[in-house]
Amino acid sequence: MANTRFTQIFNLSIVLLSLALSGCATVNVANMETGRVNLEDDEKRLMKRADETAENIEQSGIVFNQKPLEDYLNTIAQRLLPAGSKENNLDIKIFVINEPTLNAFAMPNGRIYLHSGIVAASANEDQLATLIGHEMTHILHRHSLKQFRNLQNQSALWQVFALPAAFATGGISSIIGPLSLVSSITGYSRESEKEADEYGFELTKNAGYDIRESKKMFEMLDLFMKDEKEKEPFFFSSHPHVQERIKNYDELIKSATQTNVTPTLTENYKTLIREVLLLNTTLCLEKGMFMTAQRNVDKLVLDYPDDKYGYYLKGELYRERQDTEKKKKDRPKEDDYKLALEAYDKALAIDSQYAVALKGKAQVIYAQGDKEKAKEFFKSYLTADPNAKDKAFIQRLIE
Amino acid sequence: MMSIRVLFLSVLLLNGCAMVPWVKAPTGEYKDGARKFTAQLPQDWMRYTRAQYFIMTRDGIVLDSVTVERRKIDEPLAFTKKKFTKSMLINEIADVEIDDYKSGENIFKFNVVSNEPVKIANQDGFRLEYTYETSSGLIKQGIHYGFLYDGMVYRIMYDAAQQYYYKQNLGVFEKFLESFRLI
Repeated sequence: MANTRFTQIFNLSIVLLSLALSGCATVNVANMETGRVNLEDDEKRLMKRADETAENIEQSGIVFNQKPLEDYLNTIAQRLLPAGSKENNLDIKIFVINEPTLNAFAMPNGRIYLHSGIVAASANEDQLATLIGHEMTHILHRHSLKQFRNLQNQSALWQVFALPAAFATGGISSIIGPLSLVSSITGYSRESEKEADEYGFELTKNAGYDIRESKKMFEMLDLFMKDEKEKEPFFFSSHPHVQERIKNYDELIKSATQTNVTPTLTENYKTLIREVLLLNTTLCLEKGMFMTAQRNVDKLVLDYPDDKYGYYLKGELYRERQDTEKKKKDRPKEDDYKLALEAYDKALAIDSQYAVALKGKAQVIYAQGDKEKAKEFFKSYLTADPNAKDKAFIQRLIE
Repeated sequence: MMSIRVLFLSVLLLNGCAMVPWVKAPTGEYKDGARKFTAQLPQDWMRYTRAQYFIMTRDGIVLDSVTVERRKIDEPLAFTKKKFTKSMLINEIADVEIDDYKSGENIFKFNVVSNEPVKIANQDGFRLEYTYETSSGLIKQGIHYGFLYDGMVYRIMYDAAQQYYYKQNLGVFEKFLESFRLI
């Protein structure tokens, strides 16, 4: 398709440019944890653009507005924030956005955005702290400003590519303005990312989180890329690769000392993550990301065995996977329709009038060829939900 | 969604990489052998055809476009990894289309206004009406008709800026649709 081809062309152009820029002189600016930092004019402008971008993001409808979850994540951020940075009155705020890929980004104005995919993939608070600590370092160490000043040296060349780059990365980055902010999503330089790993690690250790959990976020990222055949969520090829980062974390863990610390897995964490898991499973199903959807839904039904919604989503996963992937050579060998029926039945055992589960069951039975039996379930579906949005389709089918 | 894809193509073409393939659409009966349909074309619209796409626009694809697409049933979709299958019910086909829109890059606040079964060109199909916002904040509204025929997926889509253009050209789209026949 045209879109894919052009995206590849633009990606290649940017990668070549970033390679050309890799020799740029390092920009030295003070880190925010070292004390009061006076913002220079260009940084103030960058902050203003970051504020405008944050507004665009919030207006775009992609923010998962769950105040208890945001409060919880902000509490983790406050626990991580180093004492030395307090003089800068940093307004750190964390948001979760509706995006099932595993990524996160930070803006220089203190906004940190976590994809629902990476939050759903976390197993405990310590892993979330690693993620937040990493993103917080980009803010504390003013990586956007460094990137911006490096780019200024090449401004004419970059201006030509700035617009296509924003388009080519698509999605969230398409609502980001200047390229220096696009970098906050697509990733910073190799040095900055390494610095964020290392200082973020220090922050989590100092805050008393279990440092053994830190590398697991990257192991999950590695797994996700294999599951969904995704590329690394970084635009610039000069980044440390995931495997390399896992190795770096291994070394950091070995060289650090920490005793009597275990992962934090509270009921509050589980309750809040449940909402993210539900959202993320739905997003994964929309995108056809079945492996990730399965990881999410397995976690849901394990933690909440009495939740009909989890079983319904599990049924949807198997039904849709059967439809989509039946010709794929590497698809799981299970009979997905059978598994779908089992999952719908579990949902219906909890609530026999659960309309969407009745419809899912009817669709599977219809696809298996027993149209008369399917019609009975379609009728039950309309009885359970007389105002169903797809009522006209179902009525036509029954008739 | 279509207009965003075509926009990329237009940008490259305008950069001088190739001749602009847009031509003035002939008014009246139009026969499209590649997409296997006939329809009446309106006055003063520009037409573009390539691969499985027939596209026409009056004011530019960002503002209004009518697209007819005839695609292989198992061809990968633009954004979702899901696929159509021959055994799918019409509402399931519509659901996959909705998921493809929702998964689309540069499509925000996608909202289904209505989704209902219809007959189109004597085939059982669906009519999906939707709104969404682009990354630049432009609110768009569209109508998407879809059906399966001869092992192919047909899409007949109208997509326009909600303010002014949607209503302005809706009648043109409806006339186009009324005259649409499969060959």
